[in-house]
Amino acid sequence: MSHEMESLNLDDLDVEGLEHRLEMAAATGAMAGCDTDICVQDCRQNCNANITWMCG
Amino acid sequence: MSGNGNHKLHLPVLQAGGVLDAPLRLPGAATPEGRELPALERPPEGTGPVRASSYVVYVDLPDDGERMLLTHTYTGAYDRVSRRVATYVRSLEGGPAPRPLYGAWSPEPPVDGEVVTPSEATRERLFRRGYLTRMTREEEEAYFSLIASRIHHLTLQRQPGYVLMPTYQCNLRCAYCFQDHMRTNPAFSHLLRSMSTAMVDRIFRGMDQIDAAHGIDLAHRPPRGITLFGGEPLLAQSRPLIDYIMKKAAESGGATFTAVSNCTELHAYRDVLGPKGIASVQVTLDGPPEEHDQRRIYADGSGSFARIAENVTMALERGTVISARMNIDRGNVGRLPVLAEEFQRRGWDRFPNFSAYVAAVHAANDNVEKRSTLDTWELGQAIADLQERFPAMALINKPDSGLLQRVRGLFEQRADPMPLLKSSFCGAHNTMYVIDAFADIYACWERTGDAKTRIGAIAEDGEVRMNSALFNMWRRRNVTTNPVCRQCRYNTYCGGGCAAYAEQQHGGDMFTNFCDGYGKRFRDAVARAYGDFVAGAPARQAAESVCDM
Repeated sequence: MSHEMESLNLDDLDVEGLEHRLEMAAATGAMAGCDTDICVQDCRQNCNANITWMCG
Repeated sequence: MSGNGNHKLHLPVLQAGGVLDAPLRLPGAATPEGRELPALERPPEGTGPVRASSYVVYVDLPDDGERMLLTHTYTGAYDRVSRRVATYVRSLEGGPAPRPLYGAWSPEPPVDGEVVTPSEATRERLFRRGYLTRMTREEEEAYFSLIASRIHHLTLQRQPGYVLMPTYQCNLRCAYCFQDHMRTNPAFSHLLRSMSTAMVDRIFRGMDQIDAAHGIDLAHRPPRGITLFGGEPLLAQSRPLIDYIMKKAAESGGATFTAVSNCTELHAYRDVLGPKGIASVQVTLDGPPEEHDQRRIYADGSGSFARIAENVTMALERGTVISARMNIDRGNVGRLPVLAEEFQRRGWDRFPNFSAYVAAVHAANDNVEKRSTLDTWELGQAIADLQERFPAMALINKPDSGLLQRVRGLFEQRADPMPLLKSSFCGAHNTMYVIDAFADIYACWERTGDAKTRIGAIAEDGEVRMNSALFNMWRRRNVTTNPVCRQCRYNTYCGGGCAAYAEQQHGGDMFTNFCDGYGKRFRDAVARAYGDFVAGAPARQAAESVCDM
């Protein structure tokens, strides 16, 4: 880490580990899911149909 | 929708519309061109010179002239960098954004300052986190498509979400309702039948098949997520039916129930409201009482605000999450402070299970003038302005407040954003099954009530049959299936926008983008999330989840 650049999320995130990270996210059931009320809120605000907490 | 000549939006109806020709089978893992999806190997080395990735977002920090944030669309990296580093990366952008993006994108912050090459360690880090690459633009686009297709495939397999529509009937007669024709045109009166208990049995048999198609072990099934929608799903006369649905759900592994209701007859459901029953209800309020009562009216023209407000208070006391939605355009945005004060007067602000948010009205039918509408970015700016002048407005969430909170969560937990990246806009393109009183299945709840647009149906014996053309069309739409989204640097957060609006904007083609100012909104939300994180501002109290999908 340098004063020029500091990570704000995963420090060891690497473009080469994408498949593994995708599999981990899928295995935990978290992939693009509305697991929290925050996702729910985000989805509903963006839904055309005045509804939606079935987010993508 | 169908049969209402006022509507500009039309669901694509294929020649084979309505034909149920196949058992339920989820779309397989495929590239946008339909080839089998390979596993993700390490990214190609690339054959070009060093350049900035096409998927870097540059975020200006309003109170920091020395630094910027960089974030990367498919690696999920978020970094704070000196402006010198940001300028260096931007100097390696291979020219302006590709042509299809003109007019659809909001402009990026300008490049400023002298270009200075950073240290080797910083350059190596920029490569590792995806900001620099040797892939050509075309090679990187192809690699991104593989990643997004992989995300889409995984998302399609997830647990289905169900929307049950006990009836298309409603006790209100709001002029703007997209289902208005069903109640006012006798030609559609056949749609107003309520679901029978035999139909509930049939639908639950069908849901077993749908769960199985999604790989769910029926013997160890997690609770289902069921949203009740209509028409008005919580009419007093529907109480026996809703009881039967809840009983069936309890017998088959349980369910979390949510509802979209006008709340006029919610008192009939008092004893089943709360975290273990109907856990969450969304209600629309069209402004302060006198304004709401002009718009959300009974058949005799009388208003509904007082009855709704009483029921909202009762539901909050029962522990049900209430989300009040206000549909806002240029004409009513200025009235929001009065409504926020009404919330305070009724004491709703003291309930942690109460929230209120705004959504932009779109010109979706001929009753709405385009010039009267705000896009979502403009709406956010208007709310921010009102929040500065009226303290009560703090009760009303700005658009994109969810995005802000999610990004802030990433910073606080130093988390991997991979679970947040999405390949498509909403459940219509992955796991949502909207089932009406006739056991017809639709992908999108705004496109219901016309068998020609259904993606499938549940037969009397519970067998699920699909219209494979329509089913695949809805489920295939993702950020790789049109060139604008595929090349967009915001795509894994936006998901491509609403299909219905995209279709409206692009001459009936669903496989297009609907941007709605997303670039500006994303950068603003990330900058605000960072500002709140650094300042240690209190995060919003997390309410109980209303969705277990």
